[in-house]
Amino acid sequence: MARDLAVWRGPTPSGGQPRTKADRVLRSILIRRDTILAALLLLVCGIAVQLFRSFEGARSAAQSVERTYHILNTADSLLFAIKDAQDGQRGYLLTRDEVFMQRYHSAIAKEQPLCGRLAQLVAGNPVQAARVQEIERIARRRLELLAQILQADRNSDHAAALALLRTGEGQRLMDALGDVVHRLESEEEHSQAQFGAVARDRQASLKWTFLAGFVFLLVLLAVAGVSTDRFIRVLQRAERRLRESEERLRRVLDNVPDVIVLYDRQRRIQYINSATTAITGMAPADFLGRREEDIWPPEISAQVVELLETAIQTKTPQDREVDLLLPATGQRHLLSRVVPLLDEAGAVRELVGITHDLTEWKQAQETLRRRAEHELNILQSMVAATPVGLLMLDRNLRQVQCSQRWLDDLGLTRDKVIGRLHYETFPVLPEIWKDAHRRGLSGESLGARDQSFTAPDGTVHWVNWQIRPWGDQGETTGGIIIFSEDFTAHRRIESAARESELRYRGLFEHMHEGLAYCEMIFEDGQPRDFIYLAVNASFGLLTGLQDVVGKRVSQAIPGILESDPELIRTYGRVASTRIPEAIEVWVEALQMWFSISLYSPEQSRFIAIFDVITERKRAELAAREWRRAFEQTEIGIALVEPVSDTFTAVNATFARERGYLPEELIGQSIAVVNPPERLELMKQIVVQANAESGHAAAEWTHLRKDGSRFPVYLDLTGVRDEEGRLISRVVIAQDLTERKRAEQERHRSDELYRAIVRNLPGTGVFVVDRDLRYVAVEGDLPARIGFARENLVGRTVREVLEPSLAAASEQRFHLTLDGGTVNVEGEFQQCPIWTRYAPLHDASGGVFAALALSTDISAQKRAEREILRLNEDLELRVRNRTVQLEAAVKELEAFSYSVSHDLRSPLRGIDGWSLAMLEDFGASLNDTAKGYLSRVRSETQRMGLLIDDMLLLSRVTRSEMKRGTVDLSALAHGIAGRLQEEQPGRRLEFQIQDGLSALGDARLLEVALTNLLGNAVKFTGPRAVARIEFGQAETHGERTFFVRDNGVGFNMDYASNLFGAFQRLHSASEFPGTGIGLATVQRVVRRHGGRAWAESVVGEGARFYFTLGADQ
Amino acid sequence: MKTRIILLVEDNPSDADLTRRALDKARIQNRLVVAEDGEEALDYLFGTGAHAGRDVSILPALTLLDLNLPKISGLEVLRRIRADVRTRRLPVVILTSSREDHDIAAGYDLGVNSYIRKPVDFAQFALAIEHLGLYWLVLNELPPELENGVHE
Repeated sequence: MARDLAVWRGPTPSGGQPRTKADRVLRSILIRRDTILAALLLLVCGIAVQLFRSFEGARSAAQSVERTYHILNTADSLLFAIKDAQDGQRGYLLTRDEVFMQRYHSAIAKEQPLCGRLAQLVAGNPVQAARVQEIERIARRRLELLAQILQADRNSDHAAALALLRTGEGQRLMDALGDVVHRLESEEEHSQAQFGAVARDRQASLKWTFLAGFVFLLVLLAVAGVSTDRFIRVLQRAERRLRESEERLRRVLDNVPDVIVLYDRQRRIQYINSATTAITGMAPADFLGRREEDIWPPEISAQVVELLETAIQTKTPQDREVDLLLPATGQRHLLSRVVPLLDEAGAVRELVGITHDLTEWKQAQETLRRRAEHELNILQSMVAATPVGLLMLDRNLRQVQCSQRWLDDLGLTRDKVIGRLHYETFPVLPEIWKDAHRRGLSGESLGARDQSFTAPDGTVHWVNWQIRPWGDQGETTGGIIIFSEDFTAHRRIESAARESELRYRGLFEHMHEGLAYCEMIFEDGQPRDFIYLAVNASFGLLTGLQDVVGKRVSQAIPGILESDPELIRTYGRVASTRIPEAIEVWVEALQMWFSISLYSPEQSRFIAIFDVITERKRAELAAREWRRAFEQTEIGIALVEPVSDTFTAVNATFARERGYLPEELIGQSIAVVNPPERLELMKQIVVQANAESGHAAAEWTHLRKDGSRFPVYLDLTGVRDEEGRLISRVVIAQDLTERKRAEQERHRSDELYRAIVRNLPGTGVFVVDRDLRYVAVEGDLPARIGFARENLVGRTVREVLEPSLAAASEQRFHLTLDGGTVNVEGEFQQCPIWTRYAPLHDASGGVFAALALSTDISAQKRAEREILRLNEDLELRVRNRTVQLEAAVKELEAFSYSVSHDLRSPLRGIDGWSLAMLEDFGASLNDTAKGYLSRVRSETQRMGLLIDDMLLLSRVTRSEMKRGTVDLSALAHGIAGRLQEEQPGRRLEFQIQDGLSALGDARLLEVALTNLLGNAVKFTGPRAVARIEFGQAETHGERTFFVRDNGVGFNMDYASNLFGAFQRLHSASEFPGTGIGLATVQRVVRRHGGRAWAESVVGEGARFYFTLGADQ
Repeated sequence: MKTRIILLVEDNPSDADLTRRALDKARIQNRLVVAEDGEEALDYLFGTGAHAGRDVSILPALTLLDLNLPKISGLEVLRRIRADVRTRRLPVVILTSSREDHDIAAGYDLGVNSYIRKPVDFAQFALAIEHLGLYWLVLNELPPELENGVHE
C-alpha cells in the first residue's frame, strides 16, 4: 500500500489546490499563537522582576532580624558574664574556694570579646554604638572594682576591701549596666519588630506573585494545549482529506475501463490501474518497474514502444489503434493515447498511457453489420415470398425486387427482371401506366381495379393494382412499389360458367336428382377444394344447402374437407382424369348417404348428379346387423316354416349344438332334432305356439346328429305379418347340459363336505345365520357335549345356551359376522374343547353366516401333560448325570495333575542321577556303559516329552474356551519366527497369507498352529529348502485353512490314523515325536466346531486342512 | 563373612539332592536348608515345632518352594509366608513339575516372585538352578530385613 501510494504521488499535479483552506486556517492559528506567546512572555518577565524584588526584600529583612537576635544574645551574655564575675568574686571571698576563682576568671575573659562583638553588630547604628561604648565603660569599671576588692582582700587589707564594698559603687555600676543593656535591647527589639513586619510584607507579596505566576502558567499551558490540539486536528483533517482525495482519484482510475499506465522518463512503468490487470490477466507485480519490452514479446511490445518513443521525441500526445494478441485475453483491438507530462523546463518528466479497449466495440460493430445483412436477406426473401404480385422500382424505374407471385402471374423469370429497367421488360406500356409511375415517383399513392394488361408474351391479364412511393422515412422518394392482383383465372371461370349455364339450363332445372357443376381447385396437383359453378333446384331440396353458387365447398359445407377427404379425392380424380364414376358414399359433414354419378365435361371441372339414399342405406344396415346378431349369438335360434315344420334358417350355435352345419339343417323337418317318442308332444306344443297367443316354452330333449341327447330349454314364438298371417316360427333353444352338470357338481360337493364334517371324530360344526339362529349342526361332538342337533337347529344361541355362556358366544358370533375369526378354548362336561369361529362369505363377499368349528382336544391335553412330565424327569436325570460327569472330570483332572507331578519327578531323578553317574564316574566306565546311561537319559527325556504332550492334549480338551477374534496370520508369523530360531541351521521359507483371522480361542489355536507348522518343519527335514505355506481356501462353501509343506509326505492309506493319539506314520529314528501333536490339533479344531483332515502324496509334501465351525 | 541362606522346600529327597548337586555345580556356596514338607518349612521360618528356639531374625534370602507337599501344600505355605508381617517380603520361587494354569495363576495370586518348572532333563534343570541362584542371590537387591544373613 505504501509503495502504491508512493507510486501514486508522482502523477498528482501539486496537491496545493485542495490544501488552500487548511493553509489559511493553519496560518491564522500560527499568528494567534505567536501573539499569545509574546504577551505571555512579557507577563512572565514582569512576574520574574517582581519575584526578585520581593525575594531580595525578604532576605534583607530576615538578615536584620537575625542581627537583632545576635545583638540581644550578645548583650545578655555580657550582662551574665559580669554577673558571673561578680558571683565568682563573692563566692571566693566567702569560701576561699578556688572554684569560684576559676568562674571569676572565665567570666572576665569573656568580657572583652563580647564587647567587641557587640560593637561590631551595632556598627551601622550610631545611637546603639554609643550605648555599647557606655556598656563597655561600665563593665570595665565594675570589673576593676571587683579586682580592687579582691586585691585588697589578698593583701589582707580587709578594712580596705570592706570599705570598697561599703561604698555601694558596685551595686550602682550593676544597675547602670542593666539599665543601659535594657535600653539597647528594647531599641533592638523595636527595630526587630519593624524588620519582622517588613519581612512578612515581602513574604506575602512573594506568595501572591507566585500564585499569579502559577495561574499565568496554567493559562499559558491551557492556551498552548488547545492551540496544539486544534493544530493537530487541522493537520489530521488535512491529511485525511488528502488521503480521501487520493483514494477517490485512485478508485476513479481503477474503475475506468481503460488501461492507464504511468511511465517515467525511461519508460519504466510506475503505476497501472486495475483495468490493466483485468485486460492482460496479469498481476501488478508483473508491470511495476519494468519496461514494455521486458513484459511482452517483441511482436506485442514493438508497437507500444514506438508510440512511447514518438511521444517522448515530439513531446505531444500520440494516438494509435493497435491490434495485439494478448496471451491471457486473446486478440484485442486497442486505441492507445500516450500523453507526455512536461516539467517546468519543458522536458518530458513522465508519460501517461491511456488505452481504450475497442475489441468489444469492434465486435459489436461487426455483429450489427451482420445483423443488418441478415435482416436485409430476410426482407428480400419476404418480399420474394409475398403471396401478392409485388414489384419494387427505384427512382430510375429500375426493377429492384419483385415477388414470385408477380413473376408467376406474368410468366416471367427473376433473372429477366431484377436489375433491368421496367420499360425494358415491358416495352409497350400504355401511357396510363407510365403516368401512374410518374405520379408514384412524385410521392402519390394510387390504384385501380379491373384493369386489363398485356403481358410481354401477349396474353391479356386482368389486374387490380396499387402504386405506392417508397423512401427513407418518406422524405425523399427512393422509388415505387407496385402491388398487383391478377384475377385473370377468375374471369376465365366466370365466362366458362356462363357458357355451361346456357348449355345445360333446361336439363338442370327439371331433374329429380340433384346436380352440381363444379370447378375443382388443385394445389400441387392435389384436389384441395371446389367451387360450385351451378346447381339445380333439386340440389337445394336434397341437401338443404342454399346459395352455394360461386362459393367454395369449404365455405358452403364448413369442415367437409377434413371430414370427407375421400369424397374430395374422388371428385378430384374425376375432374383430372375425366373418367366418369358412380359411387355410394356417406358424407360425414352432411350426415347423409348419397348415390352420386360423376363425370367431367372439361378439364378440372366435374358434374355430380346425385340422390339422397340415407333411408335405404339405414334399412340395409339394420337388416345386416340383425342377420349378424342372429348368426353370432351364443343361443341356438332357428326359424321354422309353420306349415311344413321345416327349418328355414338356423344360426351357427343351433347347428353346432346338434352336430350339424347350418346348411345341413335348412330344409330339414324338425323331426331330425326331436326324439321320436316325444314328437307327438312336440306337435302339441307347436300348436300352442302357432295359436293366437303365439308363444310356448318347455324343458325338452334334443337329438344330436350322432343320436346322443341333451337337455334344452325351448322357447317357440309364432311370427305374423302385417295382416296377421302366420309366416314363421322362431325357436330359441338353450342348451342346459352345462347347467345340469353344475347342479350335479354342487350337490356332490355339498354331500362331500357334509360327509366329511359328519364323520370327523371329536368334531362339531355349528352354523348360525345373522340372527344367531342355528341353521346347521353337524359332527359327532355336539351330541356328546349336550348340544344335540335336533335341539339346536331353528333356535337362537340365546335360547339354547345358559345365559352366562350365551353372552360370550353371542359376542364371538357377532365378531365373526363382522368378518373376524376367533379361537377359543373351553370345557364342556369335563371335555376340553377348542373352537374356531369363522365367517361364511357369499358370492358378493358379504358374511351371510358364522361358523363355529369345535374340536375335542382331550387327547392333545393328555399328550402335553405327558411331555411336561417327561421333560421334568429328563431334567432331573440330566442334573444327576451332570453331577456324575463333573465328578468324573474332577477325577480326571486330579489324575492328570498327579501325572504331571508324580510321573515327572522320578524321571528327573533317573535323568539326574544318570548324568551324575556319567559326570562323577565317567572315567571308570567304558563306552558301552556310558552309551547305556545316555540311552537311559534320552528315554527318560522322551517320556518327559510324552507326558508334556499328554498334558497339553488333556488341557486342550478341558480348558475353558475364550472366544475372540484371533489374527491367525500374526500368530503364524510368530510361530514361524520361533521355529526358525530353534532350527538355525535350516533354510525355512514360510509363506503366510496376510489378513487371516478367525473367531476362536487364541491359546488353543496357537497350540494347533504350532503343531501343524512344527510338523511341517519336522517333515521337511530332508529338504534343502523347506517351503511351508499357511493360507485360506474355500471348500464346499466353508472357510478352510491349510498348512502345506514340501516334506516327505505320507501314504494316504494310513491317513485315517493320522489324528489319533500316539499314532505315528514315521519311525522315531526318522522323525522323532510323540504322536500326540495331530491328536491335539484335532481336539482344538473340534472344540471350535470344525474338522481337520490331510492330503498327501508320499515324497511330494503334505497338506493339512482345518475349519473352525460354521459361525466363522 | 555373611552367607545368604537358601531354603529348599522339597519332599522328594532325590530332587532335593539333585538341587543340591545343581547348586554345587553352579558353584553356589550358600547354605542350603531343606524342609521336607510344608509344616517343616513354616516351622523353620517362624521358629516353631522342630525349629523352636531358632533365631527367626535370620531368614533365607531365597525360598525354593515345591507345590505338591505332604501335610501343608506349597500354595498354603506361600499364603502363610505372605500373611505374616515378618516374612511377607521373602523372595519365594515356586520350583515344581506342574505347569497347570491354575497352579501358576494361584502362585502369582498369592504373591510368588517367580515360577519355574522343573525340566526332566537334568542338564536343563541344572542350568535353571544356576540362573536362579545367580539372579536371586547375586543380582537381586533384598529387602532390608533380609540383609542380615548368617554370620559364619
